[in-house]
Amino acid sequence: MAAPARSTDENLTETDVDTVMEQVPKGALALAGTAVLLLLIGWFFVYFVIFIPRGSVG
Amino acid sequence: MKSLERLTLAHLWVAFAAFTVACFFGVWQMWARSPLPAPFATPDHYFLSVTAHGVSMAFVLTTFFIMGFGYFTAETALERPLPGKAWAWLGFILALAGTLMATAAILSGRASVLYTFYPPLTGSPIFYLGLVLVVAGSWVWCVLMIVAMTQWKRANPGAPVPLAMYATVANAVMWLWTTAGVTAEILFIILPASMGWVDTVDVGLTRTLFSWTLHPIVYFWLFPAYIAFYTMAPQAAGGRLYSDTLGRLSFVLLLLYSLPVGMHHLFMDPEQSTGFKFVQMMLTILVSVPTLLTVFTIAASMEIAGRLRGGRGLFGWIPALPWERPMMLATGLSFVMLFFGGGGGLVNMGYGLNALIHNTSWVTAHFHLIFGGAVVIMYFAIAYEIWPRLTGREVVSTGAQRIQLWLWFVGMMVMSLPWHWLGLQGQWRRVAQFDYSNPIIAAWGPWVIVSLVGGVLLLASALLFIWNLASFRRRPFGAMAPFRFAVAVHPPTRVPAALNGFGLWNVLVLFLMVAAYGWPIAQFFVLGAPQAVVHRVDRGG
Amino acid sequence: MAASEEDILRSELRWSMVVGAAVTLIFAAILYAGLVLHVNPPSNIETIDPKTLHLSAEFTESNLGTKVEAGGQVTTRIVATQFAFDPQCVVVPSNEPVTLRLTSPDVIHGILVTGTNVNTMVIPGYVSQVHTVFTKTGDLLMPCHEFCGFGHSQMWATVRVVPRESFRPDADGRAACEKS
Repeated sequence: MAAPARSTDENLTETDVDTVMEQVPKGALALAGTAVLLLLIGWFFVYFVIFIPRGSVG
Repeated sequence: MKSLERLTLAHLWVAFAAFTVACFFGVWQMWARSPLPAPFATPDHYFLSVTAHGVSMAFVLTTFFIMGFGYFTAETALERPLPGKAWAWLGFILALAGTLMATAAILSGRASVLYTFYPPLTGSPIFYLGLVLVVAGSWVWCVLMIVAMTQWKRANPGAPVPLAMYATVANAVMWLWTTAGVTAEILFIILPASMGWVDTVDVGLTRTLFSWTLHPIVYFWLFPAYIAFYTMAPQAAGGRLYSDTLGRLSFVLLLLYSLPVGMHHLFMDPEQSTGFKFVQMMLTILVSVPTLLTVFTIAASMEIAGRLRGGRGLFGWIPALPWERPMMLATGLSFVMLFFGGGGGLVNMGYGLNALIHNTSWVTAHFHLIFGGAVVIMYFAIAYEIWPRLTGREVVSTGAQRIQLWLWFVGMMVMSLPWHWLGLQGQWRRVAQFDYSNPIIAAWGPWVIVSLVGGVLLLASALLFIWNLASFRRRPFGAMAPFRFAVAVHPPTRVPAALNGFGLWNVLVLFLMVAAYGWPIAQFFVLGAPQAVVHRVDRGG
Repeated sequence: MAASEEDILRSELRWSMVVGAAVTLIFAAILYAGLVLHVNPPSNIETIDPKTLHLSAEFTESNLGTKVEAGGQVTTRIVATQFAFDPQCVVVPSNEPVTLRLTSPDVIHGILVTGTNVNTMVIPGYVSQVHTVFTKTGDLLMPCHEFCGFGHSQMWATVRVVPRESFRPDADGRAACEKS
């Protein structure tokens, strides 16, 4: 279907996946955790620096 | 299998044709609003264009793509012929007829009411009837998706429904609930006004009914992208889906919590109270959860693939991924846009925070980035992934596909990031021409032009996308291997009935909708509401 | 050692706790802004007949604009129509509670005031009410921010915030742009 590298995927064995699963999800935690942290920083920046100073309304 | 291909291709070509035309309108709009002189730049042309652009992108591209992809998934994931193909074609014809009707009304200038319709502004009945037909066609699709899954379950008792199909049916169920609001609005309020049978409308009720549809519809659009994340990206990356169960759970949570939250589009409205606005804000926070869960599950799935290719360390698996594959590249770019678009969305939903940005360019930035960006880039990737199947042709090289995807990403970021800034400055929406002699507005000019450059890049990308699809014609025919969806690390042999069907979830949705929308709608009937006079835009009103 | 499905689900559960903490933080901040800092979406539900606005006691032509009420409350009344605000300029004092009241006899409009959190829809059949305190002085832009027809792009007003000391209403308690 696509690029030549596909052939390595065909040779995936359960042992390969098992070995790799010893590390997973450390990397995912690092990536997703960083993303959520940056998201919160951005959100609170808008909240404290822009939103609150613009005053009360209701 | 040939008839399925024809059915799917018919839907996808309508979707992509509408998309391409809409891109031209979009660029012209940005040009007209900028300090640069643009041709035909009058208010009636501008609002005709906004209506055409919005209806094409929000109703035609999406509905036809989702229907076509759904039919494809039903046959390939369930590995059995799609039931009721004749009905599917009927649904297609209904939706296409409706699209042509609405298009005619819009282009003749008799329906410049935008894709969100603004009663009491009222256009030609042909416009609204056309959209009703599009919805009717999509309902045929919903029924066929449910029938396909039901028949498969009967033929495979106790077996887990393949995730791609489970998610597709979740979307179909959600769409049936979603369309109730706008259908009631059109049939009972707008059409009578448009036909001249009544000359006043209850604006508060109309807006509330529309809000019922307005949020879940964006999740209707989003589902194919998430289906690709869970069932195609891990396969393209050369790894496994981290958790099939979390996939099912996320789609169920999206079904539950995308529906009772439409009122966050009405935070600034005077016809709804603090109490219900607050309740729907809390529910909106809950709808962010399945996305945050998805981010982790898909990252873990990618991590498996990256480490299998030799990536080491906390982040080393990322560069090790096969970025030369379009589905892989699109997923990565989509996640970047999801970060910015989702972050903006968390500001929008912030109850009091909504006042900061309501009806400013920040909102325009948000939905272009999250829908036009994160979601539509996955539509491209899905098309590239299934086009060999649909046409029977081989893929020879994917270089042009990658260029197209990068162009879309860069264009979208360049176009929408300045809009966030402009929105915070107070730049408001739906303006045909800004008075750049006003010093406050003059300061916005350069950023509007930057945005326009982004839009031009997007148009180039859209044209390259069509070129890439059309160029399959020149490819040799290939031997077709069965289409393979991603495999989980631990493929399920049994799943709980709750994650294999929708009976329980429909009951919960009913409960949530009654709680969130019951009184907010009933109040208009119980307390009575003042009527506003209908204004006909198709009669110079 | 192979990672079992239980291990996988356990890691997902741990992640959902991270997600739960993040959304709780955001929710707490929203709650704080609403309850303690008094920033809330304007949600005063008050109906009015759009067809007879000009005959109503409150929104007749002569009662529009800024007026200091009997109890000292500064109230600014504005009518939004296709395609202008009436009045097109209002004057308000700084650092003083101001109540804006808006309505429309025709179609949906909406307003924001640049640099502030003042933002509301104006729906025919309803009176929109916003309480606020303006802190920055000067001429602020108040555009109509909701599509209301072909003249929408040209529809805006000015909110002139004058220092409290310079805010001098006349004998009837009224203040308009030309005077102050």
